[in-house]
Amino acid sequence: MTELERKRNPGRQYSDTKKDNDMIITKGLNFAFHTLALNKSITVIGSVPDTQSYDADNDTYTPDYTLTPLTLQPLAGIIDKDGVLQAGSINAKLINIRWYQTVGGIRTQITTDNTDFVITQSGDNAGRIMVKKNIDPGSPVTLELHAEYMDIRTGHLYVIQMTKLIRCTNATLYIPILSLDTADQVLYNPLRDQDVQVITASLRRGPDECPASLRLFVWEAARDDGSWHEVGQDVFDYCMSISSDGTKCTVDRSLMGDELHVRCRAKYDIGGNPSSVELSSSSPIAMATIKRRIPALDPPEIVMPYNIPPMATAVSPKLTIRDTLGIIDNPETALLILWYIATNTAATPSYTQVAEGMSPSIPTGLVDSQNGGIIAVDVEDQGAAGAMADENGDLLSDENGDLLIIK
Amino acid sequence: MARYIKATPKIAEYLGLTGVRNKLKDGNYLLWQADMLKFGPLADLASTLSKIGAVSLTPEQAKQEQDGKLTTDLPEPADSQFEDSASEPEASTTKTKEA
Repeated sequence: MTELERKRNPGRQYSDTKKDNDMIITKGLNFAFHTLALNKSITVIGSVPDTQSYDADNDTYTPDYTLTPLTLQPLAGIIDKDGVLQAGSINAKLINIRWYQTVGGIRTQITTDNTDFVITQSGDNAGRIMVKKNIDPGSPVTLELHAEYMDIRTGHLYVIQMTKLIRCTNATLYIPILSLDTADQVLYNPLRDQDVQVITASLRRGPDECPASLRLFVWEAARDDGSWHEVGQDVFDYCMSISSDGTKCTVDRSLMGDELHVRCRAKYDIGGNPSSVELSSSSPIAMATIKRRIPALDPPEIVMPYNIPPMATAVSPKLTIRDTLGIIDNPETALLILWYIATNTAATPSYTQVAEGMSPSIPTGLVDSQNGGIIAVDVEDQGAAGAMADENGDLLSDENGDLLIIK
Repeated sequence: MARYIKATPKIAEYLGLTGVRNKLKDGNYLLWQADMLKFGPLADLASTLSKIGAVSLTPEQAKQEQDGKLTTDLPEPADSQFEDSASEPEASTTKTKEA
């Protein structure tokens, strides 16, 4: 046999111990099993359905899985086209059976110490899971089975995965609706609007106000990073206070900064124990945003005599600031008014700030005896109030521990 | 309103539900109303319960049964095939345990 023939017949084996004239020619062979055909499904065992309904009016789940559990049975079967393995269920042969639950995007493995579930690990019903907890109407639960099956013909491991969604619909006749007596977005004009705004929450069931004993309001404010915290738990909540009965949130808008996002959520319990209720995404909620904004002002008007006595050392012009509603009575509450004076020259005037406020006394030192002078006023927004901090970012407070607020 | 059925172990076994339903502290089982469909339509639930010797419970009663705060005795089944040899013949009474 030549080397070329060896290359053309790689399956053949040649014995080097034999001479060419008595060579034994052999060829390897093996069983070529077909891949198993797997079929799988999850079925509900018994009459308890995989969808609940929740009636908040009576705080009742139907059916209540804590009373009559939901039972899910995964069914896994094989068909062996080669006929070596018997077709049918392989549940009893499943290994590494694990169930996971995903709630609100968080996936966790259901362990044996989780009393909300019972998982059958062996036998013909291996993989079965009993759900013994109720489902939050706003948070459906996705159950995911992970199991493995060993093909004894080939040693190949088949991974079996199945998912089942369990959900709860809200069958409440009158779903509690939370509302606030303010618009979703409020524009606060510090020149025109009163600083204090009282926001009142209301929880209604149909046409009626929910009894106070059944509900509890939780007021929350947003931090700059978008996270929410309960009002009173942050040092920057000095602009808000909550009434003793929790129904009113008083906001001092002059201290809130440029904007404030506040929301109210309600704990509602038909059994009269709302404090035991955990807030969730399905809790009644209402939000409001308050934005500080000064609308465009008309150009300020300076009232001052054109000619002044030669010996006058100062002048006191009168300033009028208007917006679309008319003259603003007390503009210094939100506006910074700066007065400047410059010698009237042909070149660009060089202004010097000499006074501020609505009642300035402007010295006439820069008024040239020949060319006179120019008085200018600059009206600026003082900006929102804020807590004072040092160069390290540490907040400053007075002797009582109250934060120092500046504009 | 949904109803839960308190039934003897014999009924639960007959329905093949002993492994998937909660067992109460008195040894009986708590079944779901639709489990009774094997005996007849729910419109005839009263006669079904009488036949098999079970009682219907409200969700609140079922919770109390499960918590052991309430024990409702089961009536004798009208159909003798559902007689529980372990149970004592006794009229239906309701006892509420003091907390």
